[in-house]
Amino acid sequence: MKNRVLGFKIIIFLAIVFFAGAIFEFSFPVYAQNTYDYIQLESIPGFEDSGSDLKSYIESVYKFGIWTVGIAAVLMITIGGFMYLTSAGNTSKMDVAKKVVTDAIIGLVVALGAYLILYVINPDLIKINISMEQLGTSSGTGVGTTVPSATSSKTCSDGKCSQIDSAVANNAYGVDAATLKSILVAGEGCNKSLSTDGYGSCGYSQALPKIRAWCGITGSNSETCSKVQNDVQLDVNCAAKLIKSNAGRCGTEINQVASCYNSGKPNNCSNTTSNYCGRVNSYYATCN
Amino acid sequence: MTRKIIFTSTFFLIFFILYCFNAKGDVFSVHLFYDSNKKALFFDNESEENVSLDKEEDISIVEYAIDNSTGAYIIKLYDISGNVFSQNEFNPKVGKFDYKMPYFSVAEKMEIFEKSTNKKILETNLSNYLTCNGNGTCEFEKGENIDSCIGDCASSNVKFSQETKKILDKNNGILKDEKTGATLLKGNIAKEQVTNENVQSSSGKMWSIILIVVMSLIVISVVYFIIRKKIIKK
Repeated sequence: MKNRVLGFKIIIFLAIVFFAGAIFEFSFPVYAQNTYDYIQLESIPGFEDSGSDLKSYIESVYKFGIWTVGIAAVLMITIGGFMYLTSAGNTSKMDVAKKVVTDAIIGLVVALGAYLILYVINPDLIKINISMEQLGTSSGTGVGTTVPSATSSKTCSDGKCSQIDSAVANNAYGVDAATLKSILVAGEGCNKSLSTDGYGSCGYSQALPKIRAWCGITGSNSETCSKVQNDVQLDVNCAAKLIKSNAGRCGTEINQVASCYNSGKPNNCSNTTSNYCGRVNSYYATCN
Repeated sequence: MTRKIIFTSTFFLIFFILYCFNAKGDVFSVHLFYDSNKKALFFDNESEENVSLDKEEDISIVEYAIDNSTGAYIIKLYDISGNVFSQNEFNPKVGKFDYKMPYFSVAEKMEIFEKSTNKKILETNLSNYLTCNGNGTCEFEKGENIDSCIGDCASSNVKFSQETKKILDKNNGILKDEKTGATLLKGNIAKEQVTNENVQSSSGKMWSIILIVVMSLIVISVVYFIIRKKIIKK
């Protein structure tokens, strides 16, 4: 009986740890000035390609735990089923078998509960956003810097691309002006010409034709291109809408914002062209 | 046994409430059916609509826009003037399946072509979901606002319809979404500050977190008491 009580206590403790871990680990992002990548001495089985940063590692550990719990539950249900089948009408054996199955199901529900609830509420809650300060670095390049979710007092008044300043400051979505300007100037190059790569990007936002339509700009590709080229406010608002819509999905660090604007993915800086994130980060760092 | 049922029901009730409470994102779902024997694609007869607007996990517009994967079918979207603004290729899945894409407020019609023959095989009207007609006038009464229709409602020189003007006048030149606090209309975009949006949005996030903590504590308590009762019974 004592062993059983101890077992239940362990289950309750694990359940609390799972919930608390999920809530506090996954819900409250910790931000610092620089990100820290490290080489894994040992990768988590089944998640070898998950990435080399701490965030990915913790995610892998959690996913591995979920898989383990799932497999253990299936195993216990099978054992319980076998015990039930072989109980041969012995009621005490049947009770034990039922208990094994019930406990396995309860364990599975509790273990998955935290993840499931958080995921249903908002998938962003289960995205870990941890950055650790790198020892020995001095001046930041902006990597790991969290951008404000709305207009802040930070401005980029270096005189570059000043023709968009007013539109950026008064964008209809309240996107932080420094962030928006960094993307348009450093990322997209303050260039409103039609891109020559054949994709049809256009305007200071360098928005693709589908994105211009998604913004609510109608017409053929060339017409929507002319519209954004001739109306800076319209153009900048489309970029601001895109940044705002990406915010929930991609995170709020400047490199995530840049990566997402360019590729739709938050941690894709290494795959963006011509050090896109690096340019945006560096420019953002000069804004004050 | 009754307690177990109560526990399970509580869990699913919480799950359902949270699901309803936090639905997000606008996605077009095209309900299709692929007959692999006939090698033919149809709209799914069992679905009420050919295309529905679902509120679920967002699809990244950037990823959708840069997606250049190839497939056996081409899906094209047209605006109200008949311009093709979106064209993507896809391969069907056998049986019933949904093709998902971001919501386009300017979409008026959708067509699906067979790539090999370039023959149009399916067509459906999306005007029920159209909330941006691109006529140069911001018409709130037709569903246009800053979020859905930048071209008409958030350009440098916005013209408002009479009805929209009346709405703006009633609301001192600015109309906000009561639930999200997002700005829907502005009399003069250039002068507006959106700091309130931030305050409301952080307050919303805080409530979500409180809700999660409370719900989690309830679930933990239920589990704890069930197990405790079991032990006492023994």
